[in-house]
Amino acid sequence: MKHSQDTNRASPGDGRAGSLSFLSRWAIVCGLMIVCLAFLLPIIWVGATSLKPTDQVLSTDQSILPRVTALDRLRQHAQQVEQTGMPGDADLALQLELMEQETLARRRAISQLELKRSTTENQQQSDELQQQIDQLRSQEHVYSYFSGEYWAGLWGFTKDNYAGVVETSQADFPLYLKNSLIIAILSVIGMVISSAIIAYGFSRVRWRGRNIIFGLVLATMMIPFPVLMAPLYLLFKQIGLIGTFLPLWLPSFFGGAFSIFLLRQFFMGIPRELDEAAMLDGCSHAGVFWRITLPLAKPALAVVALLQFIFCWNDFVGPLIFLNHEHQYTLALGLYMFQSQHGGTPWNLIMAASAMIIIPVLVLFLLFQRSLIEGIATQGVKE
Amino acid sequence: MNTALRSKSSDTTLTGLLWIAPWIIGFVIFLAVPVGMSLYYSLTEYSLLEPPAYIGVENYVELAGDARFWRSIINTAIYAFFSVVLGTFLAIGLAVLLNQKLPAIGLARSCVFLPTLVPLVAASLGWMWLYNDEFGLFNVILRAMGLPTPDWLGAEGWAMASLIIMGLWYVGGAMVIYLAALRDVPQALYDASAIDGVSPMRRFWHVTLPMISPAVLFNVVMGIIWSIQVFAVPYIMTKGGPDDATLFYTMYLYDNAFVFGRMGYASAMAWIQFLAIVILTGGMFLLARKFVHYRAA
Repeated sequence: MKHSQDTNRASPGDGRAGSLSFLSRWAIVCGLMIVCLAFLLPIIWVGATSLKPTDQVLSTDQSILPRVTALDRLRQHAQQVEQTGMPGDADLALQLELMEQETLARRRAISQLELKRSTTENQQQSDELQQQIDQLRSQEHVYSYFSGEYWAGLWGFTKDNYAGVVETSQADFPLYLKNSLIIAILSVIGMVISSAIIAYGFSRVRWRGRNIIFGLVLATMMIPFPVLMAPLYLLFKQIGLIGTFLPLWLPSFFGGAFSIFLLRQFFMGIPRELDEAAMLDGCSHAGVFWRITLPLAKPALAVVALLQFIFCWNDFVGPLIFLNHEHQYTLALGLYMFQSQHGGTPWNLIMAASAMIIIPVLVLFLLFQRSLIEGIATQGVKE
Repeated sequence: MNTALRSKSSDTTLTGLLWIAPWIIGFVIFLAVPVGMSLYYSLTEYSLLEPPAYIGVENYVELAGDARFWRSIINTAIYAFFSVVLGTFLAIGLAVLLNQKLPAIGLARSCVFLPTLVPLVAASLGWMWLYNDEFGLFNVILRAMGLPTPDWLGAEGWAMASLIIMGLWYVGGAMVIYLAALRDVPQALYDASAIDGVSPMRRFWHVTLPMISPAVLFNVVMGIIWSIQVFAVPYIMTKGGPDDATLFYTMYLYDNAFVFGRMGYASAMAWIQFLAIVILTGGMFLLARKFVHYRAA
């Protein structure tokens, strides 16, 4: 296996590729598909649940795609009629009432049968019970995925869940979004400006002791936030900043170890001749920084901005500790509070809220995945 | 090296320090001062309502006899051990798998990496829903297959395992670093081993692994640090329960500081954690001298 395919070797640097037989290639492709599915499953499941009505969520009969039944459509129809403010349609109300009762009775019967089935040890009896369950289930009118009614019903569920989250009285998600954006934007601005200046000092200015201090910068990367959580709280408490946004964005204006590291790596790659030519023309360090380094470093600055934005958007512990009023909550903290107040029963609403905070990150990832992954990967090449 | 040019463009230390001044100020205000102050607070009784009162090493003595403190250390050690060991194997395995030249391999890499960007709160809630005892996807599938359905987060014997499994979902960050390291392995080494007729397993052990060992060291150190401070995910998913089965060190620290209002006690815990991380990291680097192979630059 290893010698025979040497002729069709893949590109250099890719050591193991090319030396694979057709069969093992397919085995790997199948393995990869399973891996992908496993890693995406939680995200897919959040999305799928966020599109379902409550009775399908709190059910032991789960499907990936939501189902739309005749009852669901009737409910949505009745709701629409109600919203238009027209006098109630007595026939419609009666029809809905009957169907609700019928469905409820059927579902009760199913769950009783299921309970019986799960306790029985007799295989034959269990099969018979399963048959009865399947038969009862088939009585429910479920629309096919290709029918117009299905998509109309799905749209109805989606609207109900997402509008339900935005308009809920238990949380003010539009306000949380505003708070998250204010903090993230201030923090991004601070991080990009300060880290660029500091990284310039560590790469383009030559001074004694710079490598030692840079080592110290890298060492701070090893100190996780929770170790500092109590001390920082006390610090901000003493200067009266607890309950304001400042503890969440102010530290960004003093640089972050990872951003400094990333930018320094990039600045080191800029040819020194450019600086020297500019200096000979009478340019100061500030001039070189502003006219040469920054314009050339735009891609690296964008990665720093992106990573800082995602960090702020995702941050939970910071807001948990430093904020103390509901009107200051960020999306991450607000989502947590929304769930913990409910104790987690309306899972479709909680998943819709979760999807809403995941989607912006997902979009950023799809747009910039290459630079994001490369940015993260540089961490390992320190030595 | 052109020494004349070098000395001409060399700067004073003052210029350098001025450029990095923002970092120095931030380091002092947001790191050195709080850490130093907390060393003092760790020697006091400090309830936030009254000014700190000096009590010597009493907090540390109390910690030594605090059963929940020890429980949290044991839980954290178990979590860290399994997370780092399983995470390292999984990340290296995935990196090797994803280093193949195959169509749409980039898509597969993205799938593994994507979870690391998902907000922790949303991810925790998503996993809570997957783990749900009655209606969660895992138990729905297990039930349909006629298998026993554990109460993933609610059973004392399962909660820790469930959190470790969920943590493995975040393996993408380490995987990306291994992938970059794998790509840096010189092709010449593989060619040489192919000529010598070395089997793929031996080649991995004797060529690939030594060459990526700096990345292994980095990821293992970071993995240990991150699992020692694990907080947000268990705080959201289990609240330390059931019956302290998932009470982690940072969670107990948080409770002492922000729930029980015992800042002095919490500061003592923070200092112990800080020292533990310094010692473990230092120890790993010392150990690494024997095993990590650095190429001459």
